[in-house]
Amino acid sequence: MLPPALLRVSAHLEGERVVPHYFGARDEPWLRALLAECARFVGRTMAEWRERVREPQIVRAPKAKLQVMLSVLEPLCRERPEAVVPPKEGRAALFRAASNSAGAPRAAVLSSVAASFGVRAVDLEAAIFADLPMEQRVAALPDALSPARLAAEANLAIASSLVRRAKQVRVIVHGDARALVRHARRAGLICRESRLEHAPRGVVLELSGPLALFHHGQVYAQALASLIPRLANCEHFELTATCALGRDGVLSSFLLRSGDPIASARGPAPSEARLQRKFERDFPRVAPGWKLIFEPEAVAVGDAVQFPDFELVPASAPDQRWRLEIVGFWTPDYLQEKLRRLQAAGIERFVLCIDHRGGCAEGERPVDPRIVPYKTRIDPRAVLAVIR
Amino acid sequence: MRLLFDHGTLVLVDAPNLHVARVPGLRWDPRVALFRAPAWRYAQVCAALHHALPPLPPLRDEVRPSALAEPAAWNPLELRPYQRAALLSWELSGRAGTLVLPTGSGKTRVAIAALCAAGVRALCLVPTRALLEQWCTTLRAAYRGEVGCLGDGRHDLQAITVATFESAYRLMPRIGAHFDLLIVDEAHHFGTGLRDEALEMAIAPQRLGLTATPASEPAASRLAELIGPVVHHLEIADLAGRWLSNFDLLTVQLGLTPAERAKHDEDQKLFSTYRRRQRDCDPEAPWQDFVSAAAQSPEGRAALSAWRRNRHLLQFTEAKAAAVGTLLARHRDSKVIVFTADNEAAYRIAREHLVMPITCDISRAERQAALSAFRAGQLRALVSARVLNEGIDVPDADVAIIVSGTQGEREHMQRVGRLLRPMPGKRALIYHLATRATAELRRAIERRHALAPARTAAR
Repeated sequence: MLPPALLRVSAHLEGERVVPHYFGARDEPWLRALLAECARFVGRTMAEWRERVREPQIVRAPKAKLQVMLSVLEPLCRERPEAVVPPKEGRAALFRAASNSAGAPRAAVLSSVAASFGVRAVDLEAAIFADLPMEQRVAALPDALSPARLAAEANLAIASSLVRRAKQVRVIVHGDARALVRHARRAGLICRESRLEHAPRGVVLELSGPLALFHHGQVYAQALASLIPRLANCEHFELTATCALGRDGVLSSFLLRSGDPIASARGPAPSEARLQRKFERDFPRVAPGWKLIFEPEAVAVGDAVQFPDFELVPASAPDQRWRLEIVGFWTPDYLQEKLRRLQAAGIERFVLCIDHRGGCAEGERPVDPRIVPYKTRIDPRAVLAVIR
Repeated sequence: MRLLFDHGTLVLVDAPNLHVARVPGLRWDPRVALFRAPAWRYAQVCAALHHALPPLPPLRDEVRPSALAEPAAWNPLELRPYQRAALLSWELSGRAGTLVLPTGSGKTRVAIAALCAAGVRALCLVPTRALLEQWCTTLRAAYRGEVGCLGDGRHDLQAITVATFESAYRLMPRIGAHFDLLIVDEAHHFGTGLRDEALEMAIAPQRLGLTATPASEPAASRLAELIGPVVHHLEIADLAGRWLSNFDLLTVQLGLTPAERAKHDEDQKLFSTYRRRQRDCDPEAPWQDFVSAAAQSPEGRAALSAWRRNRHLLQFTEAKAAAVGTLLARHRDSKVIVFTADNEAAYRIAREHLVMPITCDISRAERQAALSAFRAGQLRALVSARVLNEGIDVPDADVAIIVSGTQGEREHMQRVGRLLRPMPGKRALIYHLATRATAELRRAIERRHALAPARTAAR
C-alpha cells in the first residue's frame, strides 16, 4: 500500500472524480533502465540502493512516479545477507564482553569475541546486525518481472490504496462473483448482493464496514482494498469507490473497470482452495452414490443471491440436490439471517459449513442441524448426517 | 426486541418504530434494515431503551457472548497513598476516566487495583510488544487465573487479556463484546483519529486511561468521550524526592563543524524565509496547515525539504557522536540509557561504542534478554530510539543521554521518567545534548524549565 504522501501524487481530482496516474507503455523505457540498475546493485545494501535512486536516473523518470515505483519495487528486491555468526548470538556475546571489559579498546574487545567464535573481527562486525532491515541486501529480481508487469503491480498498488480510503464500494460483476463475495464476508464486510436488471449473469455488490454508518474510518480499509486483486480475476467488472482523500473528508468517486491495467491475484486464498480440494477428494470416498458439482450456479434468495461452493446430487434422485456453502468468517446474527432468508425463499436443502475458529466462543453458534463446523477439513460424514 | 453485537457495532433486532434521537448514537442502517449504534455507546443505549417513554417492548440483551468465563480472584495488593487517591477518583467518577501519573509512579499497579476492584472481564491495551510482555508478566503475578495475550504472534483470549493497540484494532470487531472494563495504557496515543476505532468498537462501560503526558485539544475532548475525562493528575514535582528518584538535568551545548554549520545555515535560511512569508499571510495557521499549503508549491516543497534535512543533521552531529563516547566512558560504572531520534543513529552508537541496541527490529525475546542482562549488570548500557521511551520498566538505570528526539515535549518527559524509578540513595543524571545557535537549544532550555519545579522539589 502507498503511504498518503505517495497516494497524493498518484492521483488527482477532476470535479468529484478521482483520476489515477497509472503507469503505461510510455513509462516502460525508464522502468527497464530502473530494473537494469537494480540488477547492477544485487548484493549491495539497501541503504546503498536508496542512496543511488536519490541521484538522477540514467533514463529520466517522472519524480512522483519514480517514488511510487520504488516503494513497489523495494519489497520485491530485498533479502537478508549471509552471516558467519548467528547475529543474535554475536550481539549477546559482543555487547556483554564490552560491558565487562573495563574500558578495553573496541578493537581488542572485537578481536577477543571474534576469536571465541573462530572468525575474523571484521566478519563478526559485519555479522552482528546482518538480520536487521538496514543491512538487507538487494536481491536478484525474478526474470519474469518485465517493465509491463512492474507497471501493473504499481497500478494495483495505486488502485488498492485509493480503495483503502473508501467509505463504501459498489461492484458490478458479470459472471462468477462467488470468490469476491466469499472474500468480502470473510473480511467482515457488509455485502449486499442483488441481481443486475437486464443482465442475467450480472450481480451488484454493495460493500462497506459496519462502522461506515457513523463515520469514515480505516478499520475496514484493508478488507476493502484486498478486493482489488481478486476483481482482476472476474470476467467483467466495474467498481465504484466513494473515497475520502483530503483531510477535510470530502468524498469523491474512484472508478475501476475490467481492462484497467492492474495486476491480478494469483487464484483464491490458499487455505480456501485447500479446503475445497480436500472436500472434493474426501466426499466421494464416503458417499459413492453421490455426484459432487464444484461451484454450481448461484441461487436467487429473494432479491439477493447466494453462492454455494458445491452441489451434492444423489444418483438415485437427481432432483433432490443439496447445496453446500463454506462460510468461513461468521457471526451468530449473520448465520441466523442467512438461515432466515433461505427459509423464507423455501430452500431447505442447504448445508452451511462454518470455520470453527471464525467465531469467538462455542456458545455463540446458532443451533441448527444444517450448520456443520470445521477446523482444517470438512467432515463428509457430518455433511451426510445432515442430509440424511 | 433484541440487542446484538455486530462487528464493533450494536444492532437492534425486532425493534418497533423508534424515535432514534432518544437513543444516543442509534441510527437506521438501510444496508441491513436494522437500527445500529457504535459499540462504545452500549451503556447509554441500554439505559435509553430501558427507560424510554412510552415504554418499549422488553429488551433481550444478547450483546455479550454467553460462553465466556468470569475472572478468577486477585492477590491482595498494597497501594501507596497517592495511588489509593487516584483509584478512588476513578471509582467516584463512575469508573470512566483517565489518570495522569508520572512515569515510574506505578500506573500499572493502580490499574491492577482497578481490575481487582471492578472484578469483571477486562482488556488492557498497550502500545508496544515490549509492554505487552511486561503487562502479562505483572498481571500473572497478581492474578490467579490465566492471563490472555493478543499480539506479537499470540492469540489467547481470557477473562483478563492484554493486547497491543494494533491487535486490538484488528480484532475488536470480533472481541469487542467480551469485556466490561477497558484499560488503556499510554492513553495519549488515542484521540487523534488513528486507531480510535479500537475504542469505538468495544462495549466496555468501565474505562480507565493511564498516561504521564495527557493529550491536548482536540484529542483531549475525544479521549474524554471515548475513555473518560482526566479525573486525577499528578506531576513529577508532586512525587519527586519521596516516591520518585531525585535527579539532575544537564543541557550540554555542542557546536557544529564548519561544514555542518554551512549546510545548516543555508537550509535554515531557505526554510525561514518561506515560513516567514507564509506567517505574514496567515499568522494563526497551525503547523499541519502550513505543511499542507507548502506541499502545493515547488518553493514550499523545497522549504520543507530544507527543514527535514536540517532536522536530520541535528539529530546526530559529529559533536554529539563524540559527546556520547565521552559520556559513556565517564559513566563506565553506571547503568546508562542512550536515547536517539532514529534507529540509524542508535545502530551507529551501538557499532561504535559496542552498546546493545533496543529497537523495533530486535525480537521480543532478545529485548527481554537484554533488559534482564541490564538489570543484572551484565550489560551496562543500552541505546534506543523509541522502544524505551514509554512504559518499559528499567528500575535501576541512573544515567540517561538524550541525543535527540522527534516527538516533542511528551517524548522528553517520558524519557526523563525512565530514570525516576526510585532506589535507595539514587540520584539520576540526565544529559540532554543540544546544538548551539539552533532551534534545538531553545527547545532544550524550554523543556528544562518545564521540569524546573520538579528538580527544585527533588533537591
